[in-house]
Amino acid sequence: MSAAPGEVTQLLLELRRGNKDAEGRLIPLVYKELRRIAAHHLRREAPDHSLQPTALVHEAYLRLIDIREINWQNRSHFFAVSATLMRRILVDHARASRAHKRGNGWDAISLNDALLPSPERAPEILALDEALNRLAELDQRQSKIVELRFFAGMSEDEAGDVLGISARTVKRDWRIAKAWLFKELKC
Amino acid sequence: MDQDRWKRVNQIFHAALEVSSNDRARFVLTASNGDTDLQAEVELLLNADQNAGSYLESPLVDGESPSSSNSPVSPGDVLCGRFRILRAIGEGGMGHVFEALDNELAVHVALKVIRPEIASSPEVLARFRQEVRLARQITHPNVCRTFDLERDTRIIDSARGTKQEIVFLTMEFLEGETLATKVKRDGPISLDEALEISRQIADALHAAHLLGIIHRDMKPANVVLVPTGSPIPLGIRAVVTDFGLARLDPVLSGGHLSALGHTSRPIGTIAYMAPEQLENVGS
Repeated sequence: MSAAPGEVTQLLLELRRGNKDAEGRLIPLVYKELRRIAAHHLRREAPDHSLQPTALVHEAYLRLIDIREINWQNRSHFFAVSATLMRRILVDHARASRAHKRGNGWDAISLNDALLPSPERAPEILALDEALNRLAELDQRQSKIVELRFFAGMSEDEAGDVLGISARTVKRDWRIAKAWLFKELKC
Repeated sequence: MDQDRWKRVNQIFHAALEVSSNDRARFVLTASNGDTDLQAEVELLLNADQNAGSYLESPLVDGESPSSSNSPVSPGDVLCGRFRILRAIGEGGMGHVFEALDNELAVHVALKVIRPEIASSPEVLARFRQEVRLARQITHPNVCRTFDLERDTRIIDSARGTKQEIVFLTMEFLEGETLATKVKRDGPISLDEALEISRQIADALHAAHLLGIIHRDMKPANVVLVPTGSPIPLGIRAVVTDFGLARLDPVLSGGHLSALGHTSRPIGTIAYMAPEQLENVGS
């Protein structure tokens, strides 16, 4: 069963009022829902339905949020949290496929590997994840932008909306973040 | 490196990108003001920027399985001894769409080739057939005309006798761009244009609704704008495509539900779904 819409809405409102504990309770709820929706799509859907991260996050949002109660800032926070979770899901998957084992319940929901990054990409994904943590120490926002764009599949405009910055700023941050990651990982 | 130093690197990096590539090295040298570490860091980044190309540009999960981009047909092929494939024009949920020349009638048609990896699924094939049955009933200038469902068998490996069945749909070929493409490129459209396009879409849906057919995936990407020299207002013919997700509406068709209408799987595109459609999702 998924969380009641009211629960997530309430946590977002608490977070908005400055209750930092709320995030800790919000994350597992959203995480569970994202995984549940992904599993649902992959298990029940006709194969032409794709697992598109942005769509996944939007669907989780529509299921979890009581829209009447929530304003834009709360919504942005939800999308930002969801992007972090998409990253975690994909990094977990990479770690599991590198270890040639299917831990973390992935096998239980029969994820279709064709829709996930191939196991050969696992080392690259794990290295990127680690480099992004280092980038976050230099510039939190730049790291977040890579997360939104690369892991959650958002466009520059969407990432700008979530972070409350202009598309131009996203473009600038994205460009240098990409160059830095390329330098760290590919040169 | 600390945050302040990284800020400085950012400033010089972006400023250097504004300078022509010939003068860039000199600019970085000057801007670094004798700090050789700073200079080296910016140089490395500018170099990486030049070489990064499409690095990270495609999201890690883009929803397309790697095999799905391989289409069993390509330009130059002739299907059923009749349809010569000219070029790929798009890709939808069900499969690739091509422009083809119908040699028999000497007209251009659009071919929608069902993805080979899903052609084997009876459920998907049933939906595809349903798409044809439904769409063929609608005759309206604002609805893309559907002609027929065809099959061809192709020999992949003559030594082993391996064959592959190709299932495809023939449709009216529309020469234009989608509303989604136009809006993405030009931004908001004028009120007059929006009204005219909406009116035509409404006409199209009305024609479908009279037959008890609902589209279920109405969105700008499923509306093609065909420029026309005719007296149609503003010289635009808006054509609704892709009734692929349509189903017989239980209310409109007097309760005669098709078997497919019973599935509770979410059908459509989240961003454009009607609330009542969403309420059935996952129920």
